[in-house]
Formats: sequence, structure tokens, C-alpha cells
Amino acid sequence: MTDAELIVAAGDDPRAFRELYDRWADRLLAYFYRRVLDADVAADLLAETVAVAYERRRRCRDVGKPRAAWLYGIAAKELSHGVRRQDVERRAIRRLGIEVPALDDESRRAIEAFADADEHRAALAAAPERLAAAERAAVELRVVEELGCDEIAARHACSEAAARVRVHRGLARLNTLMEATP
Amino acid sequence: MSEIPFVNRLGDALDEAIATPQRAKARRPRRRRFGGLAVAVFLLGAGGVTVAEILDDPERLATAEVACYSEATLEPGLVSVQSGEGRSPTAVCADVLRTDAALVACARKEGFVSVFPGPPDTCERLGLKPLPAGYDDARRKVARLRANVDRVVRSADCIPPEVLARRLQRVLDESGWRGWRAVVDRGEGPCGWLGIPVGMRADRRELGISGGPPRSLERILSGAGVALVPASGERCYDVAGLRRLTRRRLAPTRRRIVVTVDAGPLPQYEQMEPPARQQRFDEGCAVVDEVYADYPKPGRIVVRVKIRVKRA
Repeated sequence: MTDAELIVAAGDDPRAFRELYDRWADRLLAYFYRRVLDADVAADLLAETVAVAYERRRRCRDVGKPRAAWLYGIAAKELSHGVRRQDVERRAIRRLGIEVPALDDESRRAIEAFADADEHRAALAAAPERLAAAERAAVELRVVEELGCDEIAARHACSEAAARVRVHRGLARLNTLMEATP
Repeated sequence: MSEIPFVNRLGDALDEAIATPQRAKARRPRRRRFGGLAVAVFLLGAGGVTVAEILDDPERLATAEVACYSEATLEPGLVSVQSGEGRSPTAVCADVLRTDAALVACARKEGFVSVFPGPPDTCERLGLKPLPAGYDDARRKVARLRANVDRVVRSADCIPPEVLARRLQRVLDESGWRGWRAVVDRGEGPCGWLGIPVGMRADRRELGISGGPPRSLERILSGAGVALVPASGERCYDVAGLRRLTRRRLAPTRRRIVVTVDAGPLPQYEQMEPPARQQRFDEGCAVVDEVYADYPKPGRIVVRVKIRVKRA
């Protein structure tokens, strides 16, 4: 069955959702892991994404694109929430009553291997080098040293607005670079 | 199967959560479920048990689901899945398939029952085994357990999960379910919920009791709560109007109604049901997204209503 057929079937039969889950869970987990480089956070993000997708399975509509895009859309939103709040939302997990299993060392190793973690770490380490110097410095101060934009502005002798723009552009560019790494 | 053990365990946890429809939510799965479904996706937990043990275990098969096939073939897409609920599998499928034709039930090594139209040798022709001796007795035993469990669960509006577990353990002990345990396994609500056979985990010999809302609240949410979602698309409401409608419709819950408004477009790739509701939303009207019981802290139950509107 295609993803689209499975999603339609899952609307009335939850077992079809399990097949969809089996088809995409590894890849979603790798998607998360490559972005957060933390297997535990990636596992939590996968669990919440799956729970949200299950709750919304009847809403999925055909927009002429592969239905996996629907799953990745939910995944991207959960990732964005997680990054913004520095915590993984677990509301859908709670609503469905999913007992999320603990992550064991074997799974951690398997996730790293599946996500080609070493290669991705190298790509992540190299990505900042491809930013403009001012943007790279602003991102490092914001992300690594956790400075506010006012402090970044003071260090770079620029306005706070300019510092914010540099951070924003730098992060957006980093995101684009990492998106290019599947 | 994934090579990442966590992925398989999370999938099983998801199956288990889905299989227990105790949550009081506006959009609940219908009891009867249809769909083109690859039979291979049946995941009724064969882990650690041999095929012979499953095929020869009438109790286990009697608690499993029943797949009704419209043709005598194992091709996916010709099947609908029913909860056995203690009835004869052929009677269940005769209702579903709306047929008077002869039906035959076979045991599947995955741990469930399949029913096909055809003569008595259909199981053998398909390479399957007939149901084991003792299946009908086991089925009737499940039906009796179901009646006894229902009687206990319905004896009060709210029985705390731990209390319900103790009462159901007595039911198990007194009705010949030797080795079975009633366990409290999950859920947020203050009241114990259990459905038979979906709460039966034959592979572990457990009845899984979860927390949920009081029965009276569940009744309202699955009636007025469910109806509120499509009703919000019957005319164009603004947020204030929808808040009023919500409070009026859900007043019988006598619970605090917490309304949240989510302003913004619907996520890409999603649509609302019924289509009239989607149309109202597209026109800028406010619609109800979901209605459910929530438990912000121990001893406190609120009804949450999510309203969605394109622009605040």
C-alpha cells in the first residue's frame, strides 16, 4: 500500500497507522537526530511527532505531494517547538497515554549509525565556516555563549537590531546548509 | 521491524495506547473499523511465543481480533477488522460482510482469527489451520468475563484505577482466569477504564486498566462534545459566538470549560472534517478543533476546547 492509502486506512483502522509508523520511524528519528545530535531528545521528538500524527491522521489531505511530507511537516513543527522551548512537548503523548520506552544503549548506537552521525557531525562542524564572518560570530555568541542580542551588539559595535538580523540570518543559513545534508 | 530496538518498542507502546480507547476525546475511533489493510500489519504481540503455542491457544485466539475477508484469498485490501467481543467470528463477519454465504474461521499464526467465505476446507486450501478445539468454550468464557467486567466498571461513575484493579482481580480469580492479573498501566484520569477484549493482553495474561474521566463526563463528551465539532461548521461563528455555543453545549458537564484559540492557517497537508467545517474555516469563521477532558493536577478535571480561526 502507498503512504496515502495507509493514511486513509489509518483514519478508521489504527493498525494501518502502525505500518506507516514502521515505514517512516527510522527516517524520522534520523531526521531529528541529525538536527539535535542527542539521541534521547530525538527519541522524545519522534514519540510526540508520532502521537500528533496519529491524532491528526484524518486531517491529512492530498496536495499533490508525497504524503510523507505531511509527517515531515509535523516533525519540523515539533522540532521548531523543541528548539524554541528547549524542551520536547509531550502533550499528544499524554493525551494518547503512550508509555514512551526508555532509550537503551543499543538503540543509541543504532540511531547514531543509522543517522551517519560522524559524517553529520563533520558536516555540522564545517557548516559555520560557510557563513559570513559577522554572522558566524553572532551565531556563536548567541548559541554557544548564550548572550543576548544587546550584548552581541555591544561586542560587535553595531545596533541591537543589526545583531538580531545577523543571528537570524546566520541561523537560517545554517539551517539551509544542514537541510541540504539528508 | 526496525534495527533500532527503541523504534520497535515505541511502536508497540503506540499500539497499546491506541488499543485502549479510554480517552474522552471528541474524535474517537469508531468501534467498527474498516479499511484496506495489509494483513501483515497485524501486530498482536507474538513476541516470545511460538507459532504452535498461538495456534493451539484457544484463550489467546478468543481475545484476539477477527479479520473478515470478502473473498477466500489472503490478498490485503479485502479485509475489515472487528473486535471479536466474545461473539462467534463467523457471526461477526456475516454482519460486517452482510452475507448469508457459508463462512469459515481460521487461526492465524500472528495470533488472530480470519474469516473467509467458502466451504469447510477453505482454511487448508489457504494454508491456514482451523480454529483449535476449545475455541468456542474460550470465546464464551471471554464473553462472560466481558459481562462481569462491564458490570463492575459500570457500578459507579468513577472507580479509581487501583480500586478497579482489585475488584477485577477478584472477578478473574472467581471466574477461572488462572494466572491472569488486573494491572494499572497508564492514563491520566482519576477513574479506571477497561474494555474487553481490547484491554486483554493474552500474551502477558493481563487486564490493562487505564485512567480516564468519570463515566458521566465521558458520556457527555462523546455525545455533545463530539457533536460540537461539526456543529461549529454549520454556520459562521466568530470566536465569541463559538465560546458561547461551547459553554452552552457543554454546560451539562458541570466542569470548568477551558477554551483556547489557535489563530493561523491550518498546517499544510491537513484538512478538516466535515468539508462544511473546512469551508467555514477558509471563509474566516472560527471552528472547534477538539474537545477533551484534561487533568491539570490531581483531583481536578477540566474540559478543554480548542478553537481554530485563520486570523485572530
